[in-house]
Amino acid sequence: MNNKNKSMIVIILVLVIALITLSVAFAALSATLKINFGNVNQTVQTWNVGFDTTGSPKAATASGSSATGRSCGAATITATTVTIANTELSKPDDACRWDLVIKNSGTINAKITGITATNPTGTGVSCTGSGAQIVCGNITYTLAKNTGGSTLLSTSDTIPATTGNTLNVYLIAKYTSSTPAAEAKTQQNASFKITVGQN
Amino acid sequence: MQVSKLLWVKTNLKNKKLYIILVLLCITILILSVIFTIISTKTYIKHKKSSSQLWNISFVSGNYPGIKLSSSSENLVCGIATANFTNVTVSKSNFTTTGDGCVYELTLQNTGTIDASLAIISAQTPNESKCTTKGSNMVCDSITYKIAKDKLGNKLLDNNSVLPSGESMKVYLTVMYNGANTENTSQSGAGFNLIYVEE
Repeated sequence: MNNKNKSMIVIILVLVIALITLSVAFAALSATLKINFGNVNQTVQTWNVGFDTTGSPKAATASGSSATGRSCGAATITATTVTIANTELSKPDDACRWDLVIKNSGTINAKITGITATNPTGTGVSCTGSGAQIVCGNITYTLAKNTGGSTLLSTSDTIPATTGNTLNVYLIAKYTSSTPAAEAKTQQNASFKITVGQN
Repeated sequence: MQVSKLLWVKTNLKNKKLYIILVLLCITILILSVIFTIISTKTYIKHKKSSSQLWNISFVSGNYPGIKLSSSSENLVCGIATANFTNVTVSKSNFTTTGDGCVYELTLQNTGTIDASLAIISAQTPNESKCTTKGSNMVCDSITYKIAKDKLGNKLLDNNSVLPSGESMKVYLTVMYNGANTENTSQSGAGFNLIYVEE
């Protein structure tokens, strides 16, 4: 039995040597080139762009020579629309300004694709203009990128998904006539709606 | 009596183990011999007479940033392929949209004196992914990995592709996302082994 085991062990040793020899010969006649890919990640895209509704309804910052004949309604904000409640402006330089933010909380770069104004209601109100500015009697409503209202929000404006993903906009209602109103007139429900798309 | 019985059982078990090792070794040698025969067309003895023969297949070393495919989104992040002689490692990439893809242009070179032939292309599947592989094309869930001879990936690198002595050829690694996943995913460990033998 011992001799048998010894023979088996010898045979195994011979086979192992043969295996090693074969491997060495194989390696000598071939070259293995290795390509390894690191982590391949796939991230689901999210779309979330619109007015920041935090703090809605929002109070305005009023300006002008005095508060007489001036009252600023609150602005009700949804992701797409901002609507102003009863607002009365009756003398030169009276103004109400609502500070808003358009925010991109998703992962896709966005841009403004449309701005639609809805005329306010009120006694004898008729409006001209469209887009980011309408003139309704003595009151001009503007959706602007600066507090002075001179730079209108436009369809070329972008809101990136990464750094700088907010756009400050200002809804300004201003009395634009050079003479005070004969009587106080209240306008309400002027609104601006924005549409956004992928940039 | 019991002692001799135990001894008999012990010896028998030892014999069985030896038999199993023997059988496994024989199978391994048989497989290696078959592979060796298939891939080698000339024996090493033929080159014994010539002392100036040199076998050298490798990648041109360097760092090669991935190039975005034309169908890719802006959010795609491609990795960098680092080639070092016989190894290529591609760093992390991030896909977001269907059609996102990265191409890495590498150069294979034969600086030896023996013509080389691509004998085997074997794919390594990434972790926890279901893959279908065919030569230098591997599809794992929604990620496709391939090695091609053209930038568009239409001409896959195939077996028996010859790289003559003193010449080089461009190969293009492509990683592409073709899914519509609703959850983030990640794959790691994908790769290819290219085994070149003398032509």
